[in-house]
Amino acid sequence: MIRMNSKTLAFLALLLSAVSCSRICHTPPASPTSLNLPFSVLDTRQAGLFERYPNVQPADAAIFWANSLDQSQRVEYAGGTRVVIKVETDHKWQAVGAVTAIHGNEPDASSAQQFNTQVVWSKDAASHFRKLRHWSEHWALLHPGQYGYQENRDGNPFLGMVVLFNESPKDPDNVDGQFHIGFRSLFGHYEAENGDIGDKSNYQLYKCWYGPIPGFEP
Amino acid sequence: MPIVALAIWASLQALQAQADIQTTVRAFLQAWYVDKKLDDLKSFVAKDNGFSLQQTPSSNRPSTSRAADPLNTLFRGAFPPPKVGERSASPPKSLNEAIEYPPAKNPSARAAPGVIVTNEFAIYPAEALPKGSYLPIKKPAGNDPVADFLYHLTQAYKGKLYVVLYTVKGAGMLQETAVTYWIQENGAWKLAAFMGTNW
Repeated sequence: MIRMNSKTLAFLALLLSAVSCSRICHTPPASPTSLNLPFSVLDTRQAGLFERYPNVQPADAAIFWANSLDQSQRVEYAGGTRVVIKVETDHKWQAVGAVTAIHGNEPDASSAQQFNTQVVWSKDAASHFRKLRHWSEHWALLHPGQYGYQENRDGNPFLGMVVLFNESPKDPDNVDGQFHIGFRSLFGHYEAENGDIGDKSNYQLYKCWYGPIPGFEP
Repeated sequence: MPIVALAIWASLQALQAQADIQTTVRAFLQAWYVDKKLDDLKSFVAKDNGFSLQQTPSSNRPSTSRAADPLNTLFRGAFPPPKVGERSASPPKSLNEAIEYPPAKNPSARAAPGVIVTNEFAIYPAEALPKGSYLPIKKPAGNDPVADFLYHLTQAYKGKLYVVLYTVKGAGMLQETAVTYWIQENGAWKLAAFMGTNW
């Protein structure tokens, strides 16, 4: 029988978990399953942005969150903004000035109009994203008047965060635009679900790329 | 003199290739979106194609029909059945009723050498596209078959890889932006991959 001390066992466990994540992107399931993602999962910046969301009174933000958004919107907001905010924090700049609309599952809307967050970007946001390592230019043919940049997650041009900017904003200091995340991984037609953070298989990728949304499991 | 002659010959070859690919792409799109000759479309597909790539374990989206015949799924999938209560739309009678290439957002790319822009689609040599936007810049480090295949195209078909872009707008058709990859295989232009996007 092979005998191993606790340090060796711990090292092997760590190694196995790393190999597992890199090969199939498995992360342990979150403990609670949440059909109503609570406002409390938002960090300070996310909560602050939401308190300035249209029709929200700061004191009633949690109530608005629970009663006026559906779960797909809550997941889109919580999952999308934390990615942009992480990019902001990592690079010590601020891109999002305000969130103006949250689009989740909207069966009557076209695919391109679903699962995205509309924002007001700061004046320098586009130039910040343009300089990010591994990101590239994004041609937005279905979004007339917009241009943008894409993350190219894992080297794939169709995966990861996409940020779009109005090329002719009314106020150059406050540029309207949006961001969304692409999860498509096979050659075929586009489906709105390809941008759904809360989709079960998409969320496995999301966790692997950006870490879990606290308290959320589809 | 021989160098000049070689240069002229090379540029003539490039012009010929461009003329050929435009004719081939238009014939393919006409057969698919307007004439609906779905059984003929496979003749446009390259032997070296990405349509049978398997999903990675991390993206285990159910796709039973894809496993049966991914090309049939792709070609028929462009014409989704009308939603309940919706009247079926009259199909496009011409290619410009079915697809379009909106005004390019990047004038410099439009003007790049070798780019062909029509009202229906645009054809870009791989080298004329923004780096990283449609093809991986370097060998992908992860376990992503799509990224790996696209990178393979960049390496195996240098100078023989074109990307064709258009948006689908026709009534009764799946609305999306299509990114298609064309390679020269045994002297003929063939479709190696298709990606429908919300771009």
